[in-house]
Amino acid sequence: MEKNCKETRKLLAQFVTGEVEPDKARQFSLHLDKCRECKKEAGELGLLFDLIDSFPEETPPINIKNSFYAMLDKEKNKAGIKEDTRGTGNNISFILPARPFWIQLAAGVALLIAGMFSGSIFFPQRVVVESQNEIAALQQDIKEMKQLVVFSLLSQESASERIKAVSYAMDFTEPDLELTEALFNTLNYDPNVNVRLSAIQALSNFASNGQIRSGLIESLEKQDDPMVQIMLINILVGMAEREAVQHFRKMADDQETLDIVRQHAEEGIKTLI
Amino acid sequence: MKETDEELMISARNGHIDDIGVLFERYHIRLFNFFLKMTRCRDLSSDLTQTVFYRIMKYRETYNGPNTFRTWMYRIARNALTDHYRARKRKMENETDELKKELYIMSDETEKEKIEKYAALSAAMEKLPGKQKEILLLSRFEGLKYHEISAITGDSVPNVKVIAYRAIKTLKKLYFENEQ
Repeated sequence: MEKNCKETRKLLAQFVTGEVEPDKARQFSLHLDKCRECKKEAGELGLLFDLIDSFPEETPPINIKNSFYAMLDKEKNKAGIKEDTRGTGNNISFILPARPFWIQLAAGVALLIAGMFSGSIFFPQRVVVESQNEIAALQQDIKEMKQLVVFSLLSQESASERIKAVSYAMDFTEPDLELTEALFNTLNYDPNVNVRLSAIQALSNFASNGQIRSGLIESLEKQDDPMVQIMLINILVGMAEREAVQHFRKMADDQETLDIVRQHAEEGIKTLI
Repeated sequence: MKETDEELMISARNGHIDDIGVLFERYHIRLFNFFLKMTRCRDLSSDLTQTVFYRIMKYRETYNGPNTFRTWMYRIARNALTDHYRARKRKMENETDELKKELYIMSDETEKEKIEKYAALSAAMEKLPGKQKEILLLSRFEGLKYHEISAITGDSVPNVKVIAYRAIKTLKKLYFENEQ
């Protein structure tokens, strides 16, 4: 074998991961033009690579996902508990961990109740209705308890506790009047920027609600921190909230607004109109 | 926005455990197929895939750059497999061939030809020495770079290159011998 052939065969290894320097690749193709043996070798390797690259993937068993998500939920509960025992004596969330556990708990209790009633064969219709009512009542209880947690955490001195409260609030799918009021209060008056930023995030979850959108627009005038201002602008632009345009205008024209915020406001106007 | 694997993993490490779900969606099929090629057993591959994600979750706080998430994940995968063999000291019998047979019966002529080629490739892969097979899987099949493989297996980069070259050379020989 010629020296060039040896070099070429060595280079073939690089093609396994495609990490070939352009210079060497050029040399390689020049050599292939001249050497039939190496060309055959490269051709076969190419075939093999094509075959490897198109090797069909098999679908894993269906239960793999279920087991994974069950495992994830379990870990989340555990993490919730662990975090709290590290916390500063705020033990209320010890008994109120993250959402999936709630749903599991509610479902578990509901199952228990349904199980207790299923022994009764005399009033099957009533049983179903009763257990449905029980489930609804339980869900309501859980919701109220979670709200309590949010409110109690929001009044904590530590900013990280307040952020935790806001992040709990994100679990609610429907905005509740008291809850949104608390969140707006946080957004407009919390002394900590990070807490205010999380409040924006939580509120933006309820973007479909008109009142919340107008609340966010009104908040534009109350904010003086550029990060909060920019995030509000971005969120409102993301919601395609045209009502915000005149407020953006005001901000963009205000000489006291920071340049970077004014730029965002200008861009927001351009996107919305 | 959290987008890259690394950003997601760091966020999971910092408490957003749900982000591991995104990584699971991204990688569980790949990982399952990686194990399937290594072990040729669906049940075991499914278990091992679970084990990897369990360890990712459990040891999330130990995740640290600068290695990519994939490098880290495959290192865990490799350990899971080693642990399994250490515990069992024997390979599981394979059932993928049975599945392939069923698939084969249902297919038309061109499909059959393809399936035969894949089967020949699988058979050739089986005959590769363990180390070569592993490095070939990580490089060409999983698309990892030599330096990443080096971080996974602990071999030096030049060594990985040499093994990859030997692997592909042996595979080619086995495959084309089989075909003729």
